[in-house]
Amino acid sequence: MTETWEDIREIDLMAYADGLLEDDARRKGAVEAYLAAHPREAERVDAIIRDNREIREFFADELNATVPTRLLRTVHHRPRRQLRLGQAVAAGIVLVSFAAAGGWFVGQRDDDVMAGAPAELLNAIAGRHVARQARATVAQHTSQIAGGVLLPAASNKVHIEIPLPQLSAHGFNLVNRTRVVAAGHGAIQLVYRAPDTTLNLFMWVRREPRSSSLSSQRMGDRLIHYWTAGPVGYAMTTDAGEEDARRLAAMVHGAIQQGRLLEHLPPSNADSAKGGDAVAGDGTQVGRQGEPAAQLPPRQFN
Amino acid sequence: MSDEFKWAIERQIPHMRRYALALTRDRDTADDMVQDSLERALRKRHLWHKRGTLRSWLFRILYRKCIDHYRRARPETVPADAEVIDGTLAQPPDQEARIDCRNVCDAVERLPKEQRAVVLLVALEGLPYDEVAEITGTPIGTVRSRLSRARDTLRTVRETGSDKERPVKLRMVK
Repeated sequence: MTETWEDIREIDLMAYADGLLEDDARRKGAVEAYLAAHPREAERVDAIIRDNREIREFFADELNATVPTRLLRTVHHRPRRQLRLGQAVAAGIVLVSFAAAGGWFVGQRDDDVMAGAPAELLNAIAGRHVARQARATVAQHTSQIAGGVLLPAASNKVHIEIPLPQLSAHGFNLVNRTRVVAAGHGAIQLVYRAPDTTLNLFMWVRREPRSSSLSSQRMGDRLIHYWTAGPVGYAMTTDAGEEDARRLAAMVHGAIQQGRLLEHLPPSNADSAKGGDAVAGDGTQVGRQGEPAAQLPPRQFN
Repeated sequence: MSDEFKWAIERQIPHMRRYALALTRDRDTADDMVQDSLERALRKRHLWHKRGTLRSWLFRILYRKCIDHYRRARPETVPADAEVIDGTLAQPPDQEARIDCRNVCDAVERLPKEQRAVVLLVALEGLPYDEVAEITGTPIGTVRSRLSRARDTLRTVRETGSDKERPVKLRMVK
């Protein structure tokens, strides 16, 4: 450490001239004392300081110059990844394999995808229609859930908030909401009741983004109306007659509102998402004990 | 890649452009080298382990690009005159001071490239010697000696108008 100006060396003079002693007051003072006693050295240091200042001044406006678009684009665009030959070949093989497997898969499932609802799911739904008379039995095995989670595993990634269809204007009130598993598909079953009719609405998440129009299919003695709206599939069953069922399906179809993606699950629903679910004896997966249907939040989260 | 990282890089672009322009005295070449450096930095971002500053890392890449540019450019290209720089800058009010600035920059231009790189990192960018050593990949003692020699040359140029102390390269004559 330089203590007095007798210890000053070339290194100290350079550091002083380059402004590197600003944080070291003692050393800076020693250099200044040395320069005061050595005019020739002081002149040399002054020349360095002047050179530095003139260089900075000459290029001063460069810092305020407009940065060319191509440079900004370079920073903000994802650089093209250069694959090595081996990686490129491997990637090509994987792509071809996926294409082949995908083609086979689409070929196998073409009917289901085009219909918008897998046949086995519709068949399972047909067997799950809750009629008025059977409600007590259902209530024994299934409980209402508070903001149930349709797909708990997927809830770690994305949440879709789906407003429950409001059918009260048509005389139907929501009396039950249950999580079910039908043919391997997790679904939410909503039960609406009017004085003389019961209507079941099933909602499930699907991987097809396309929407489809209202269709109907008879599964055994049960007529099912179904459609898809983006990533959500819907199916409706009712104990009304065929003509009334068609009218009710059109009514429900029109009452469906678009879902929206949520970054975070609201706290009350997040709690329910963590809750343990039970499986009823008939294989129906049910939620925890919850509040009465009339107090359920008018939204559904996956 | 995080936006913070990109934002931090973007903040260094004006400094990189200024340094590259001071080194090359050619606007297009300077921007080409900055672009090459940015592309390399983004491609090799995993190599930046946050040891040292992002500025040092980017300038190290840029410095090497410049060195490579000089190595490829044989025989040495004639750099653009200060007029090129003047054409892109706003006209300052003090013409006399401007001429002084141009003179010293012309003198810097005549320095050997290693000395020029060090002088500009210190004088223009205000970097400490240890950071300059990291950027240029040389010991700090080498940085100091290059700086000292460069300043002796600059002083000679100022006093005599020429760099007579510059060693003359010998050619092999058969």
